[in-house]
Amino acid sequence: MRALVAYAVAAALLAGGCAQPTVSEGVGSLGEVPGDSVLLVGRIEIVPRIKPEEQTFKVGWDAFNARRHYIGRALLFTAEEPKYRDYTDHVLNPPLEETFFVRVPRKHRYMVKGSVTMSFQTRAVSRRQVATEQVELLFPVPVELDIRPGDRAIYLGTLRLHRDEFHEVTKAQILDHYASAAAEFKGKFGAGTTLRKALLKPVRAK
Amino acid sequence: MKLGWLLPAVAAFALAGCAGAPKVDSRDETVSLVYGYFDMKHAPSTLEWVSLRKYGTPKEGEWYSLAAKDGLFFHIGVEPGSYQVDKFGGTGGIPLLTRRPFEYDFGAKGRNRTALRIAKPGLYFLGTYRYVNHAGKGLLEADKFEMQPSKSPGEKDVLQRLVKELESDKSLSAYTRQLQLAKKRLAEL
Repeated sequence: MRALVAYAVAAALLAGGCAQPTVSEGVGSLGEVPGDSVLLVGRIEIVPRIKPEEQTFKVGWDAFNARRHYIGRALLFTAEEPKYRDYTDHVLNPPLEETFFVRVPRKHRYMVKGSVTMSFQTRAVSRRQVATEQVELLFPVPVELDIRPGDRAIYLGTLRLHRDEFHEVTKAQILDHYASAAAEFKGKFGAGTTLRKALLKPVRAK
Repeated sequence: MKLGWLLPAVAAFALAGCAGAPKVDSRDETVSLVYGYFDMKHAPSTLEWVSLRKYGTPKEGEWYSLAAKDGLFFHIGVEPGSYQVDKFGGTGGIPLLTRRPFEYDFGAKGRNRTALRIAKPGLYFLGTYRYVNHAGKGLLEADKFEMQPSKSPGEKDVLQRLVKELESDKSLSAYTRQLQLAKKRLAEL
């Protein structure tokens, strides 16, 4: 029973405590991208690279393999407004250190929270309660996704985040590796669709 | 930061830095004296322990458990490395009715205000912080809290308490190097 409760907490994390969010882990074909969505192509690099032994995920019975959302992946919460929110109803869950292909609702033009979970653990503290312990590497946000009418697929660039030993981001770069990403895109989806370059744009505080 | 509930294992966890861990060699000149102060006047519990987590090690999850007394917490034998407070706790409630252990999370989303790099042995002050409660809205929203930096008590006052503790606790009498470091710093303030 405790394991069930523990898992519920992990699920609630992704669910934002209420409605189940849509989690985009990756797209295999353009048919998986409906008209109200856009395919995002990009890459996230963490410097120094995160070693497997640096990430832990312990929730007891992980019946639905929630672990896969955390280990070696980022969680990027998107929204229609550039306001910081812990959780939204749409989460991008791209792999780290490789070109990702994920879909986002066309209206979601902002990434309002981004993180890599370094440690996620739940533990039962009573028959009814579970405590969660989470250590996160947080991305600088908000960031704008330059989605325009008519876009089917856009290239965001390589988001390279430098970190210190406390998993604090000390430097963020957006690099343009369009040529290699476009070649991967063409190899995966064919030459019929345009991949427009639309590098990520930090949102300046007003 | 959310107010957490504690499991009984925390008692064992707190001891891990004291009785269960190897005793600090009083002749070891590579270790540092680390100290700080938490004002828990507005918290639902007292302060009984503070966890100082180590970062940048090949495998994470190492920490020191710092003893606490009347808000003062310290450790006399911290090895070089990168650290920050990640948790702390104590006991609160009405005796025989609601009394229970509490555990608090200082915040582990990157670097927090207590982050510290110990490159060479010495004396390191983590600062003074006070517990500030933010009541939740309505019945369903839980209270939240934050640890705000505070100027009172200042480093000098905290150090005076630390010196007094080092001088009065017989189990710490062998750590004369640490006591001298504290007295030297006190003289500078």
